[in-house]
Amino acid sequence: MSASDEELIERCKKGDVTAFDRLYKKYSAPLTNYIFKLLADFDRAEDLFQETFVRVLTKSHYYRPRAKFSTWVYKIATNLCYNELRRRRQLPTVPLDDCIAEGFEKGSDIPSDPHQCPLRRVENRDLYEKVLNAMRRLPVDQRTVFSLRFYQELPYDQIAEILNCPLGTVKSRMHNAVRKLQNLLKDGKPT
Amino acid sequence: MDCKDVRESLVDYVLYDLNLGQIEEIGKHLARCAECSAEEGCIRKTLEVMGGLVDREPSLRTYEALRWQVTRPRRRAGVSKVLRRIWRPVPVFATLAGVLLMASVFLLNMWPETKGDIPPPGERADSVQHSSRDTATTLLKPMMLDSAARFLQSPPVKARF
Repeated sequence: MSASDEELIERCKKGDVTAFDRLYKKYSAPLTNYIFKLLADFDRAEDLFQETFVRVLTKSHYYRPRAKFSTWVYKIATNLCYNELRRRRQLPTVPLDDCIAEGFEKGSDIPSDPHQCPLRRVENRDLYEKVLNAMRRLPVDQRTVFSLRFYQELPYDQIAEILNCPLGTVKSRMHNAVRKLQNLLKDGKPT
Repeated sequence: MDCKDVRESLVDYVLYDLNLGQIEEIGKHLARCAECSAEEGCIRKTLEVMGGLVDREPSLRTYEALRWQVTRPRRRAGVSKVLRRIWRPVPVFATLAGVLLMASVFLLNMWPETKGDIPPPGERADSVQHSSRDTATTLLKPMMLDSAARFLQSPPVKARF
């Protein structure tokens, strides 16, 4: 019988590396990518994933089993992302063009396959950049619902629990997000 | 189902988030309505493009940092923690002692004057005519005032919590 996430967390707290590996394997990629889609910054997404994991370990006594464990984990990650986005809004931002002028490589977040043909790589990079830009332009609440539903494939009722809002609101946010993305991706470039 | 209802459910239809009956009904509608069908194609295309954002694995650095968090030796309660636990109630007791001292000084001053003890037979009553208040005042008051004065003059104790 496989151990539940709560049991794995308790074992992790006692220093059990096997339990940690199992939890890490289960949550690392989905959570990091979820955070990445909200922040559009992979390095920061990794940092926030670490913070989420540490919080899950240290605050596990706050978890109440009336909701799914993954709901609680996603809730922590979402709150951390919202804090980060709020903090970013308070900080002055540097336009992307200035960053490029200063020598930052555009799209350095984009994963590339060295064995892929260069033309294909450029196409992929363009597509990746286009999708990322479209995600950035979505309002945060729609972006969150879209990421949870489309990329994480969570059911609507779980998303409603994570975001603490009614089911109807979640559905309408998803609907609006898709409509907005349709407009953003129209003619091959986000408006 | 009219076009409005169908369009509202198209996202769920594309994501297979409806029951079989609804899927069939929308499928039939799409077969006969070109506008809704075009809309469905558009949503499908949008989601296909959005699916291009491939998932990435977090780096080894993240794994190692978290693994260290799990395996690092936990700090045990050291001497300082034990001392702190012992030291914590000391200021409370000191305050209580001070309050008791003040209260006793105050009560001694307010003590109602009562007549002294009954003189032993054969002695004159006026020779033992002290009141109990006088006895208490003469014996206790200087002692208490002295300790109170010493307490007030002593340097304040700096306690760390």
